[in-house]
Amino acid sequence: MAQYVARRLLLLIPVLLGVSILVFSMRVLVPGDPVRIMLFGQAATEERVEQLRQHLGLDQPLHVQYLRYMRNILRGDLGTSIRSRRPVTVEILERYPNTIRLTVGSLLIAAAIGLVAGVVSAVYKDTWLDVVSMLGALLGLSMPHFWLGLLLMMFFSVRLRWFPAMGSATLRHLVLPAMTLGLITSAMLARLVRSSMLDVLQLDYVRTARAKGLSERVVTYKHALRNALIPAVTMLGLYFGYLLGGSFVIEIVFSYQGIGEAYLSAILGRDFPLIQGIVLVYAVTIAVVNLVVDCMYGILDPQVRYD
Amino acid sequence: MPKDQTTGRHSLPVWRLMLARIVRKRAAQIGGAIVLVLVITALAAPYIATHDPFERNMAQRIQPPGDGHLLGTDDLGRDMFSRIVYGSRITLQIGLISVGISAVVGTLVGLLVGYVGGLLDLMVMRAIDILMAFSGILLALVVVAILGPSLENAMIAVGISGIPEFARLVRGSTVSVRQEMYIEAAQSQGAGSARIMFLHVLPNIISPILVLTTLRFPAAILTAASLSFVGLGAQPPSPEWGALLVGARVHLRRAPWIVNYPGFAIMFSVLGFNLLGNALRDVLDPRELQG
Repeated sequence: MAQYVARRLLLLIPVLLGVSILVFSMRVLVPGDPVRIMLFGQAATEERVEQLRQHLGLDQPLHVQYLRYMRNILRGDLGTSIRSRRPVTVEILERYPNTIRLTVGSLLIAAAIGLVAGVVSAVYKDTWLDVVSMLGALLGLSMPHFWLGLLLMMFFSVRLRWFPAMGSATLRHLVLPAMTLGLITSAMLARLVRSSMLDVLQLDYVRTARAKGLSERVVTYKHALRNALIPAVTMLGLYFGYLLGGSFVIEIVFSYQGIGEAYLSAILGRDFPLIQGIVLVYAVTIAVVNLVVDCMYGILDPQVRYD
Repeated sequence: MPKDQTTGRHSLPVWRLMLARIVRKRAAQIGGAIVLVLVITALAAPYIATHDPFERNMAQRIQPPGDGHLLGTDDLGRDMFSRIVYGSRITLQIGLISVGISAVVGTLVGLLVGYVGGLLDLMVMRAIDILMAFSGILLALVVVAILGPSLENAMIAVGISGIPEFARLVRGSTVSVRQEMYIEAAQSQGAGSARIMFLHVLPNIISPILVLTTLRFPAAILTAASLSFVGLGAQPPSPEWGALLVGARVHLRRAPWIVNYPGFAIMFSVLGFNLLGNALRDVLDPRELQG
């Protein structure tokens, strides 16, 4: 197991290298002069333009710029935000915990609802329970995140006044954003769990368990569910990426102070150091989550060989 | 339906068989009907809309649905129904253009690396794995960050974000088809690589591409609407459905219709394409075609 984890960690290096090249090339790919884009709307003298170009190291050849960029990243220096003039690392660290809280919170909600709905649908296939939960899942999949967010806000904040509509100060601020993201993701999970549960329930070992005279409850929840969960676990990494993407929109709906909200102002303000820093953080988060998911998959499914 | 005398199977062309199966599916009927409504609305927008979608009328601002305004008016007094009707054009345009970009580029990349194989395949697929991790909107956000906010750039961004999925699918199908005898036969007759890829491989892997194209449509509509909603896609005064909800938060109490109807329009269209795509996938699945 340790060897497997070590190998997966090694495999992370080329991925992160690829990501760093992608993130670095973002600034190169921008059409037009990046310095002038950053200074858009500001009255800047030629002197100021050149000063900023030198400050950002943009007067150097590309490979030198990349090496310098990498060296800085390894030191934890992601540059300085053009707008706030604060270090990008500080800007991100202030907001990152909020985004992770939102993502993990939504994942928990998605897992709770998605698992129950998926298993119930499979066990009570073709009954009204199945029809209702699959119809709900289909609607959930077709709903834009931001709209569901607004609807929940309308109902729970404006009408019932149960939860605050905006901000991220307390745990109560987390409820509605996490519920929005969680509900939509649970729709995907419910469909997946249902079909994988239906596949597993047809397998020989389930028939054997029934033939042995085990109760239906034990067969379903002890024998079938564990195996039916494996595809769901492999998808967790993908869901996490999906949730991070969704959190971007949801943070804006609920004025939730996460990195998504900072990313939007960075894009609108052409604040490239901050844009690159946030993309890098998103990518590293996804890569690490995928590593953890791979290891979890190994624990859950003994058939996975670590060689 | 005529049957083949020797096998007892239907001798109709496969595509007609598939069409017959699709039409029989309830989900496909509902999905198809929704998509049809969307297409007709987009094509006949000037005849369906009751008002000019851009005309402001401050005397009529924030009017509830009813008298003169079927779905009410927004904060600038514009008719919501007409704006939603015209918005359907943008939604379809977004779907067609962005999914077109994903499908064409993704198919070309997948065909090439799948057919050529070797180091090129290895390198491109690793890069695609990395891009796949940036699921959906995150990749689109990276592209928008580079290109800048606008409807055109949002379409390009959504298009690019779908390329990895197509490339991976087409590459996989190409690799399995490459082993077939008819490819070997074509090679032995001296056919060039491009000819084999486009005339022999591509026609044989078209069904999964078709299914993914239909299933990418709703994803593209949702992503583009999200981009417009946060101000990175269609810009005001565009009646794009995501853009209609910009700033709607302040009207939650007084004018819920400003929030409800555009959201419902998006959900309705996405649902239509989802139903159609799922039915198509079920029918085009080769396992279902046997027997």
